[in-house]
Order: sequence, then C-alpha cells, then structure tokens
Amino acid sequence: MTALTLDGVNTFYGRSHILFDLSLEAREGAVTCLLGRNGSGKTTTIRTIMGLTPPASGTIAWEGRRISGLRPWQIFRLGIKLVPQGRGIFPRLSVEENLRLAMVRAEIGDAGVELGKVWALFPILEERRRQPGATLSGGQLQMLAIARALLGRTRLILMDEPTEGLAPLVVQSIREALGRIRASGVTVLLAEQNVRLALEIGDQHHIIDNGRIRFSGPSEAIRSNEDVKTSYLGVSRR
Amino acid sequence: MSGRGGALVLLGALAALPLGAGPLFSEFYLALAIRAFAFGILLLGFDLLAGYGGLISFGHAMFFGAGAYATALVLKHVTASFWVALGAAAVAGAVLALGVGFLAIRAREIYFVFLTFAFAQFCYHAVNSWEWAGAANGLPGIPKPTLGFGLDLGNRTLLYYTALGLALAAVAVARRVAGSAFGHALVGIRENEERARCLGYDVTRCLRRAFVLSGVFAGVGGGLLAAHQSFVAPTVFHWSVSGEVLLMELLGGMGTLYGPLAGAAFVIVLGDVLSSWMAERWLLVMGLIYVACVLFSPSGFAGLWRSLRERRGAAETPGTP
Repeated sequence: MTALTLDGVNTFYGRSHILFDLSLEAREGAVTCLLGRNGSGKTTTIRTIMGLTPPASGTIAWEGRRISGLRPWQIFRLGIKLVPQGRGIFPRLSVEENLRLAMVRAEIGDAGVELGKVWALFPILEERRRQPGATLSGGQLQMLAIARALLGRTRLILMDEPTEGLAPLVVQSIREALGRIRASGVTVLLAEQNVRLALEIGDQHHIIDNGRIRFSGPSEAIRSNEDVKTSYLGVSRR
Repeated sequence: MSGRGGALVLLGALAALPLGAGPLFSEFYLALAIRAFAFGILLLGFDLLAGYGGLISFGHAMFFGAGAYATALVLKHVTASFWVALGAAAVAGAVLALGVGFLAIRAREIYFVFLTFAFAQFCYHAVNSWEWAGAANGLPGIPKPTLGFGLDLGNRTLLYYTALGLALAAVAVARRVAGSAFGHALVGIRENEERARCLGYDVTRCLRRAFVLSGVFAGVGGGLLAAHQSFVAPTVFHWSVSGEVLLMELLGGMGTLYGPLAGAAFVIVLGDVLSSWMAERWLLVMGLIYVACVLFSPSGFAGLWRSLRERRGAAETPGTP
C-alpha cells in the first residue's frame, strides 16, 4: 500500500526553482531510496515533505490525507520524523536531554521504557547518556538522531544521508539499525549518495537529478541499467 | 553542597537585613534592597525569555512600567489592597505582552530587538501624554497599600519582608518553569529553532507564551516598585530601563536564573553606591566593569561562580588526574 505520495511538487528557495513537478511514492513498511548526486534535490525533497520548505504547487499526501500546507510540528504529530543531514543534535544538551526534549510531543507512554528501548538499540548511547551532544563522534550523533526520531509513535522516518562521512564500521551499525527499523514496520524514505548501500537495503528507488525524478524502480532494475547508473549516479561502467 | 550552604547564608543575611537598619546602616539600604527585589523579579522572567528561549527583548521597561502604573492607579483610585494592586500589575504586564508578542514574535534577533524597542518607546510617549495618568509629571502621592489583617505596608520592614517573599516565590516559579518540559522546549528553540519545529514544537506559540510569562514577571516587579515608592513617573518606561535590564542579564549570565538575579542586585546596589560618590561619572565605572566582565567572564557572574567552584572542587580531591 502506498503510504506517502508526492504529486507534481514544485519547490522554490526564494526565486530559484529547485524541484520540478516531482512525483514519487513510498510504500508502507518498505525502504524507499532517493538517489542522486550532490545538489540534485534530495535534501529539498525531504525538507518539502517535512514542511520546512513548503511546496509552491503540487500535493503531498500521507495515507490518503493531504499534508502539504501543514506546519512541521503538525506533520511531526502524524508520526513523520526527520533525521536531518548533519544530524541536528543539540550540542549543549546531553544525550539524555536530547532524547527527553524529543519525547514531549511524541506521545510516548513511559519515558523510562522509551529510554530503555533506545539503550537496547544503541548501547553506546547509554554509556554516553550524560555527555553533551558536542562531544559525541559522528557515528554516535547519527545513532542519537535516529533514536530520537524513533521515540513514540513513528510511522514514517525521513533520513537525509545518514551515512555521510562515517567510517565503514559505523556505516555497518547504521545499516543494521535500518534493518531493525524496517522490521518494526516503520516506513523509511532514505536520501543517499551511497548507491551500494541503498541498492542493498532499499526496496524501491527514485533517482533524482536537477530536481526531477529521472528513473524509478526496484534495486534489480537499477543494477541492470548501466545508463542510469552512469548518467545520474556517477557509478562508472565496469 | 557549598551551593546550598551559600544560598542558606545569603537567605539568612537577607532575612536579618532589617535588624541592622537603623543601628548599623541607614534605612535607605532597605529601600535599595526592595528596588533590587523588584528588578530581580523582572529579571527572572526576562531570563526565561532571553536566556532560555533566546529571544532578546529591548523593551521590557514597558511591562515593568505597565505594572507600576497599574498598581499606582489601583491604589489611588480603587482599593488600598496590595494583592489587588499587584494582581492588576500582573494582568497589565500579561495583556501588554500578549499584544506586543503577537506582533513582534514574527521577527528574530536584531529585528525582534528593534521591534520591542519601538513598542516600548511608543508606550513611553503614550504615557508621557496621558493626561489622566499625570502625563509627564507621573503619579505622585500613591497611598501606602495594606496587606489585609490591618497590616500596613507603609512600614518599611514589613514591605521589605513582603518583597523578599515575592522574590522567593518568583524564584520558585521560575525554577519550576525552567525545569519543566516547557523550559526544555525553550532551550531547544534557542539552540536550533528548525530542529525544535521538527520535534513537534509549535515554536511561535512557545515563544509567545514565554513572552507573556516574562511580561507577568516584569509587571509584578513594576507593581512592587510602585507599592514601594509613593510616586511613579513615565521614566519607568524609558529605554534606558530596558538597557539596564539587558545589562543585568548579561552581567549575571544568561540562562542561569540566579545569575541575572545577582546582576540585578549588583547593578542596583553598585549604581547607587557609585553615583553617591561620583555623581554622573558612575556610568563610566559601570561601563568598565561591563567590559571587564565580557573580557574575563563572558558567561557572567554565574560563569565565574561555576569556575570558582570547579577550581575548589579540583583542589579538594587530590589524586585525580
């Protein structure tokens, strides 16, 4: 079932046109990837869905309900959570404070139970629970950003380049976390530059270039399409 | 530990202050302390807005003034009850902050500073030409309020203890707010507004609430000042009062509650001591102190206190690397 639909979305930053008639779908419980080079419009697409840069035209629907035009905090309350590029952790707040701040509006039951779930998913965060965000490593920040987005009732998680700038070993643990998120039934929209990772964990892919969707299909369709890989993803022909 | 001990000593000293007035020092110092309490209450609310929420207002004199005028007018024309007059001050501060906040909290940073400044100047000039409220002459001859039970606040010692009690209550409320989910939300907004939005916070509404709350604190502070003085003048609305508030906040240390309280006491007391020595030139000394503070302790008195305690803590536990 289609959970998220973008239909003919146009987004501007001031007067510059960024997204052109962009349409895409994300199926419920699946990992949908948004692939493209730097500056292709991945982040803008994610920000547009979250309501941070509302579309000038076109509609965004979540489970059949129109969400374009809603404010970010209203979209959040539908269970749509953002893991932003650069992680967006509050640097002066501790790990636990960062999590607690995210709990207030997230309709959680018991704070202790929620924290327990986070520590189970990422044990390293429990060790660092009193440390300020600024002292965490890149991988730990990413784990915290993901854990924060999973608090409470999360239906859709929007991830903007979660593995950017991380060491291979850390990428591995993020990949495992993604697997567990998917297993728990949460829908994932993942913007990635790491094509290998995306093809491995994604179900459906949309390739974006210059603010337009150029190709959509499952992993095999992209693996077997050398043209798409070379022209839009910068993967060289072997 | 030493923090709690220090607080108890300070509280004891404040409670004992009226005993020394008369034999040890002039009663005038009690009046000065009441002024410091009035500003301290304002600063607690200001710190919730500016220190926690990150919205720096350059117009808090208008809420302080609104509270002072509301109290003065109620005492003059309606009732001598201190509580009714103070309630009127809180309401005046809240209503004005609601209106100004609705219009000004679209802007941020320097634009917000200018907008609040403009509204405060508007209030200053409006009160200056408001004939019924005495226009530029202000409101002289405010009757002394009563606490009920036949207690007359014309008695300076009683007024002092009432002011101290109000200030302590304000501290309790401010601490409670700062420690609540709302206080954490304000910190989140200060640190990263967009992030707070994405975590489900209606940022505009949170900031408006903080603004109204700070208006209530400022109104109560102004009301206390009016109950203490027998006279209020439009100068309570003047921008230099807003400037002093900002100075107290910065000297004390933003987002620490106790810091700005200390800042208020420092500026009021030192301002008085210095101006009696060197007349107008005291501002020069205050300016130098401010520069020294920015250079050596940018986080204000609160930062200085913290680093002193940390240094002592490190000296007391030898063996730790």
